[in-house]
Formats: sequence, C-alpha cells, structure tokens
Amino acid sequence: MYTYFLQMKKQTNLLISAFLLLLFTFTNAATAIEFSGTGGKPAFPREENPRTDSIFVHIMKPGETVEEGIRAINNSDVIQTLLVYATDTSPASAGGFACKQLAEPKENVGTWINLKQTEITLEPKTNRVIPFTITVPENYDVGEHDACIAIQTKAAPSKGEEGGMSIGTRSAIRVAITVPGEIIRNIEITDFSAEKGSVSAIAKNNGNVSIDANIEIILKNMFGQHVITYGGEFPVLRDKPKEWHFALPDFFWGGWYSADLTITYDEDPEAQTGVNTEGKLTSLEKDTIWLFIPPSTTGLIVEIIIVLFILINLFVLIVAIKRKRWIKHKWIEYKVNRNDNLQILGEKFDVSYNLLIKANKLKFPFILKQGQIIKVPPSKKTD
Amino acid sequence: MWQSPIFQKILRKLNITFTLFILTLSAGGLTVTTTVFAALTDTSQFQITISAGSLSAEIVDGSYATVTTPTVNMSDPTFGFTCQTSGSTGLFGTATEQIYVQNPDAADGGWTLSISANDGATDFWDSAGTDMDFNDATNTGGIGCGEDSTSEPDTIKGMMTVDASVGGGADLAVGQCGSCVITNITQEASDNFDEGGTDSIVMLTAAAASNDIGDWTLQNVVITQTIPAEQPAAADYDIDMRITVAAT
Repeated sequence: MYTYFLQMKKQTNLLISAFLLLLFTFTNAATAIEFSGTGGKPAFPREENPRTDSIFVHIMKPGETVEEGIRAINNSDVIQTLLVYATDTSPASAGGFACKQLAEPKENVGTWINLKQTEITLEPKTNRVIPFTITVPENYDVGEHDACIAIQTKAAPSKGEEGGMSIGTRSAIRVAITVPGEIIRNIEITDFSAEKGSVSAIAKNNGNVSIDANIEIILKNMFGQHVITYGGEFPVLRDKPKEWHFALPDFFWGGWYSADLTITYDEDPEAQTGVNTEGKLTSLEKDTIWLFIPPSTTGLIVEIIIVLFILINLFVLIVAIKRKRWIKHKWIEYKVNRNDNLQILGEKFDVSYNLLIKANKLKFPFILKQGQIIKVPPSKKTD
Repeated sequence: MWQSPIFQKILRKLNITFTLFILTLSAGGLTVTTTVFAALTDTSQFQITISAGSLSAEIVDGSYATVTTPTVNMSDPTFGFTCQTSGSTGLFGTATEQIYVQNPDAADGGWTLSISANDGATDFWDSAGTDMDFNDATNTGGIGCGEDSTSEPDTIKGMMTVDASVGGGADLAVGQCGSCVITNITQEASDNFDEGGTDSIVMLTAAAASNDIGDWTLQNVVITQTIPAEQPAAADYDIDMRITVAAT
C-alpha cells in the first residue's frame, strides 16, 4: 500500500513538472517576437529632443546645412539590398503623414536631402549608418517643412500572372525641418460629429508648423457615467485638416451617449516637434454631442424581452386596478339563497367563480351559507 | 536517513524548485526578441549586444513568414455600357497575406500606415489595350466615372477606394506580442484616391501612446475599383501598389 502511495506521488510530481514545462514553453511561444523586417531609424538621436529617436527634427536657418545619418537595418534572415532615398511628402487622406514614391520626382523638401549612399547590401541581422546632409535653400519661408527618408528592398513588386494588384512594402522616417522666424502655433476644431458607428473630429492647423496635439473624446452614458475615452497624441500637420475617426465598440445595451471633445496643445512658439515648453497648454473644447448607439443583437433580444415583460405586467396591473374599482363601485350586495354555490352564482351573474372568491375574500373550501351577504356584479338576474 | 520519507519529500520539492529555476532561466533566454550575442572574456564579464530594430511593414502568412509575391485578387466585373461604381472589389490583407507592422521601439512618437501606387499619382491599371485610372475622382454620372481633363495629364477614367475602417470590416489585431494592445491605433475612414488631392490613403494611425514595442496585423481592407462605362473587357489589368509605414 505504501509503495503504491509512493508511486502515485512520483507520478503526481512528474505530471506537475510536465505541466510547468508545457506552461513555460507555450508562454514563451506567445511572447517571443522575432522582429524581422527591414527599415531604418535615426542614427544620431539628440538627448534634448526624445523625438529624434524616431524621426529627424531640426531647426535650420536658410542656407544652413546639417549632417545627419540614418541607420539602415536588415533584421531578416537573408541578405538584403536596400534602396535608401529621400522623398517629398504625399497628400494623404485624413490629414495623415505619407511619403511620395521613389518613382516620383522630388520638387520640395526632398531635394534638400543628400544621401551619401542610396543603395546598400546588408547581411542578415546587421545594420549600417548612411550619412546624409540637409541643406535649407536661401530665402526659404519661415515654418516647418517636411520630407521623408524611405527604405525599401531593391526587388520591384512582382506582377500577378493575369493582371491584378501586386503589393510592395517600405518603411519611412519623417524629416521635420523648421525655418526659424515668426512661428505660429494655432489649431481650431472645425467639426465634431458622430455617424456610421464612429465618432469623428476634425482640427485645422492654422499655423506654420506641425503641432503634436492631444485629442480626448470622452463618451458617457445617459446617466453621466464615463464609458470610454478615445484619443492620444497625434501630429497635426501644417496647413492640413487632421481627421480622427474613432470606431464605437459594440455596446450590449446600446442607448443614448454623450461625447465631449477636448484638444490640448502647446501654443508657445518656442515649442517644437517632440518638445513642449513648460507653459500652460492651450485647451480647445467643443459642445457636447449626443449619439444613439444601437445595442448588440443579444442585447436587443434581452431588451425586447424586458420591455415585453414590463408591458405585460403593466397591462395586468391596469386590468387588476380597473377590476378592483369596478368591484368597489359597481358590485352590489347579494344574499345567498339555499341552493346557491359559487358555480351557480358565477353562471347567474356572468362572472368566474374565481373572481367571486377574490372579490369576497372567501377562504377554502369556499362554501357559502344561506343568508350570507356577498358582493356580485350588477345583473338583471339579481331578482 | 536517506530512506526517510521526510528527506525523500524534501528532495522531491527541491527537484521541482530546480526545474522551475531552470525553466525560468530558459524563459528569460527565449524572450529576448533581437539578436543576442554573449561573449565570455578572460575577465569573466558578460557582454550583450542587442541589434537595432526598425519600424517595418511586411506582408506575411499565418506563421508570420514573409510572402514574397503578395497580390490582391480583385473580382472580375463584366463589361458594361454604364459606369460600375462598385465594379471590382478585393480584400487586401487575408489570413495568408496579412499586412504586418512591427515597431521594435523605433517609432515612439507614433506612425502611419498608408498605401499608394508604386509609380506615384500618375500610375494606372495597365493593360495591353485601354488602361484604366485609379485616381480620377471626377463625379460625372457617379464618382470615379468621369474624366478630369484639367488637372490630370491622362485621358483615362476610374477610381480606387480603400476602406480600412472598423465599419467596413477591416480587422486590426495584435500579432505575436503577448502584452500588446490595439488601443491608440486608429483605423482610418474609407477614402478614394484623387490625383493631386489624395495620392496616399492612410489606413492606420498610431498615436504616441501606442505600444512602443509591438506588432500588429491588419486584414480585410476592402479595395473597390470603379469601372468606367465601356471599359474594354480584358484580363490583364494590373497595378503595383506599395504600403508605407512611416514614423511620425
């Protein structure tokens, strides 16, 4: 018996060990990401502006040249030949930031950038810095001017066999150059609405530099309780209206909700992309809007059942009240005869014997005595 | 003493603890997400080099392996004497060809994912016969059905719409990252190309507060191409598009 017990304990320990092994194995399978793409990032970020970790930000006078560098990265498992090139920005939907393609001629800020190397072959999991210069032309206007530095593999997108749409990919980094002078930082909210399952806001940048604006849309239910907050910090580019469309989630119950919009940003001309001043932020608000959000299918069914339940109960209650009033005001007293019983009286006065029991608060076994006074509905048969 | 049940029990407990310790160590090793190089020097100092990561966009299959020749299959419309505003549709981003964005701490201020024609705004659906435009948004008998003879250098009609919105059915999800969220990444509204006005369509915008380290997939982006009236029947219309993930 003791040996059997020991064997069982051993098996239990084995099972626990196996379970833990599996647990750790699968946990790691879920969390380990092998970053595999190709792309680039700024090679020389500056401490005073944390944004320069991600994009190129410079304040430059007309005629000035700065030296910069982009770290071209190949995190794939194969040797990659990458094209590294500067482009102008592309007019994009929703006021978003996008870059023109390699095939498109550079006409604006893309021409300011001179890369020392435009093609690079990298071994797997390696990277290399490509130096470049940015030169602002003489007499260029004050404000921010954006461009891109893009990296893509040299191989062209492959064509489908019989027509169709082929897809290529690339990554790009924004280059934000600000020519100093009379900097204007101003945003206005031009629209705040809700439609087609989303709540939308549009803000127009009236200034001459891009602004990192913090948008916050707070959704509350009809009882004023906070439900969800949308938003975040997004760049609102110069001269462009920026659109936000936040999709509304499925609400189980649905109903009427209010939405409040607030946009905060640094209006101080000393602020720049990636660096706010220590002054007070400007806050813009828009009137509260109300929106109806339909319930989920299950929620709708539950709501219909609840409404039906309430309506039926209400109907029953109203009928009961009316009947009570009818009994109280219209019913008359009746003296029970020798052969009367509830069934006979029910037929005689065209009323159910159950109602006679309830109206007269009779108790089981509901036997009527001769001469007993009870209430009955008014009828011609009372004689 | 060695046969003592208490000692045996302690040994078993130690065995489990040791197993846990080893597993924890190996777990730590497995979670390193980039290339790790460790060298033991003669002074017994460990050295770790984590290679730089970059914001990137790819088309990958269900196992996150790069798809070398990704395409979007468009439906085959029939020839029509009238303009067909929803003439051909296709799904960009499928279970086997997912749009995949990786941000290994490379774009902390946010990013955008956009799509545009590989040859730029003057590109078109190329055919051996009559070409077809993808960005002529002139509204004559339906948007995308007319010909803009003033601002466009071409004489072809047609327009493409890209819908990556939640309402349109596009599906944004976290990729392999176990602790990431899609919060602070906005799926943009449906929009159409319009030469000179909208040359790129933004599908996703990540706010500064989005995960600095993470990966995401996007599927079921609806592509709709307006087929102009009397566009000749042909099976060889093709166009190269390129998606761009840009640190902003």
